Amino acid sequence: MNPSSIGVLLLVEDNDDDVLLIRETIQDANFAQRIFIVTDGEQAMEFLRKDGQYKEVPVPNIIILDIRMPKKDGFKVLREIKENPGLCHIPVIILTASDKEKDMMKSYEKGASSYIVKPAEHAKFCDMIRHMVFYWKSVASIPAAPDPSA
Amino acid sequence: MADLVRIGILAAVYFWTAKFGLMMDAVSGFATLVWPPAGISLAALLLFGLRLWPGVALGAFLINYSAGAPALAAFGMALGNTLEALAGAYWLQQKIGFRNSMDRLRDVLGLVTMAAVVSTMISATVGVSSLWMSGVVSPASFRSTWMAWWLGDMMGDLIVAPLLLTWNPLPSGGLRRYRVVEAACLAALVVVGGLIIFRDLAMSEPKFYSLPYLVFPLVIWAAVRFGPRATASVTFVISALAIWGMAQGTGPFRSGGLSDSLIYLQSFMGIVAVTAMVLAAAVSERVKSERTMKEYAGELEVANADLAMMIDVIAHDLKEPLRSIETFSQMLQERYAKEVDDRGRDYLRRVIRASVRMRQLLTDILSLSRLKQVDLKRERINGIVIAIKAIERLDARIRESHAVVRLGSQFPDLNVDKTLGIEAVYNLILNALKFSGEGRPPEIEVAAYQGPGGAGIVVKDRGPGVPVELSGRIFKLFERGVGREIEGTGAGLAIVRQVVERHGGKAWVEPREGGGSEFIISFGD
Repeated sequence: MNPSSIGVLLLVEDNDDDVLLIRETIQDANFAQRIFIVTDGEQAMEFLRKDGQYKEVPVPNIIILDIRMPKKDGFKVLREIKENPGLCHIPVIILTASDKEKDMMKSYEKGASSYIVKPAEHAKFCDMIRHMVFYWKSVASIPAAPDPSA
Repeated sequence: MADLVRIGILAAVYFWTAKFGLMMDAVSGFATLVWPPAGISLAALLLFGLRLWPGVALGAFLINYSAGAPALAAFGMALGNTLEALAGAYWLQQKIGFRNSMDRLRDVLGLVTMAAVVSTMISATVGVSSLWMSGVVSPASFRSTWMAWWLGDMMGDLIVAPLLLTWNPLPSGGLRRYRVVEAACLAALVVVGGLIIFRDLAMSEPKFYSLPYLVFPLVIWAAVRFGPRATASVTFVISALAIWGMAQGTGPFRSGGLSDSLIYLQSFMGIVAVTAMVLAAAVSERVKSERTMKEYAGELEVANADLAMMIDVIAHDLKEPLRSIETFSQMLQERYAKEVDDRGRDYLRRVIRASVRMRQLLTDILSLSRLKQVDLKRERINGIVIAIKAIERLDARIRESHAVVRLGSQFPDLNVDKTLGIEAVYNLILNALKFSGEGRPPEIEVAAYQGPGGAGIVVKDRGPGVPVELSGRIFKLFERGVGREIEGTGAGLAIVRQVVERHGGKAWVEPREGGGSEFIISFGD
């Protein structure tokens, strides 16, 4: 693994435009070695549980999660992640268009590591991603997965 | 078939109740002061249709003929009685759209005037004229006979008809227990009171001439607490007890013969009945309008909440594609501007500018919509704290514009939601920062306000001032007093207004002495 970047990132986002933007900015910032993208909450849980087509995928080191999504919203996904002993160590960053205080409070209550409101301006969006990358690469450390034999 | 049965029943009821009336010392043998059939026939025609008139005619003819009237006179009297019932019912239905529940003032006034006063004149005139032409009534007693006839029929319409009308159909649904107890108390008092007043119960000589006035609290109680049906019932019971007392030679209205006494009694009961029915209808109307208002208020609240939620959802849903437009056009400008000519770059700038503005507008709509929904957390706080916090939030803008901001003294304590109060003053100062005298930095004063509308804060600027015709408009959403050369969406002052109105206060603008404007907000008393 490249020590300057995080190994695997799972992006859960239904908006195609946001996927493109986030992916580009993350790639430019060399945040993660591999980026996986799923477009709704159910797919996200299938990915994380390695169900069906996701049998061979790695466990992500970090998750970027939208709130408003079809089939299963971000809050439910977050709760299921945090209730699953094999997944609860993964930091989850909420990246959403909602600037409502209650959404933010709910996210932190359910165990989100950070809550970021998507800025409208491209420059701010890039700045925000860069800050996020800096934080997770240089300040915080990504928790290791629990040892299954322990 | 059903109508034939009804006609038969009506004729029989008419006959027997009339027989009872004629026992009450009828003037000239036929004009009695107690004539329940008048009210019964009016109610029957109103309830079951005018086509039941033969029942009235038959009953009236039979009773008068059997009482000894010549056939022609009995026919004339029956004609008068029938015309009275027909005219009363027809006028009530056609002229005022009469409702049997009698819970509107117009129903009561219609019954009193069209039926009780006017239609009964037809019967009295036709009936007494028939008796006169048949030689039963002498010209000398024509007037007294006519008066007795008219008054007797009137009382039938005022006391018997409302009872039958308001109890048809029978009420459905029970009363709450405490209401049943209250109704029982009222009923007991009506009977006991009626016996005391009109049967001289508990006293050997009725020397208390003010006793009849005890009737009023009882009918007022019925009118205010139970409505037209109970009022009609109480009036009927009291009237029945009074007539029974009178027939037995008791009660405060005894004077000479029975018919003379009955004139006093029936006049009194007429006034009681009309007063009580009018009061009951007025109370019913008020209760109904209060209920309707409550319903409307509830509906309005739900509609407002739905609207606010809809605005919220729309604004959010619009923000997402807009963010894409703004971001991608910015990326286009950053990365590919060199690949298009000047005109293309101009177009791109316009797209970006429009999307930025639209985002600002949506943000403002969302702020305003949230402001309407948020719960107020009022606290007692000095105005200077609000003013300082708002100024602090604008520190960078104030430095940037080299504005001079003066803070007044002796601010009043405000009973205000601190966050919203700061938001309002923030928007006022932000607005003032945009306006300054020619070539000079903005001069702003934030001071205390105490006057009509309660305590508040005033923000003064040295801008060009607000024309009088715009002073009301600028507080509306997206209404701007200036052109696009001045930044802003026109939501700031709407937010200010929303904040103060939620507090029960006011926002307005006045010219400032020496030029400029004073934007004043009060937070209510």
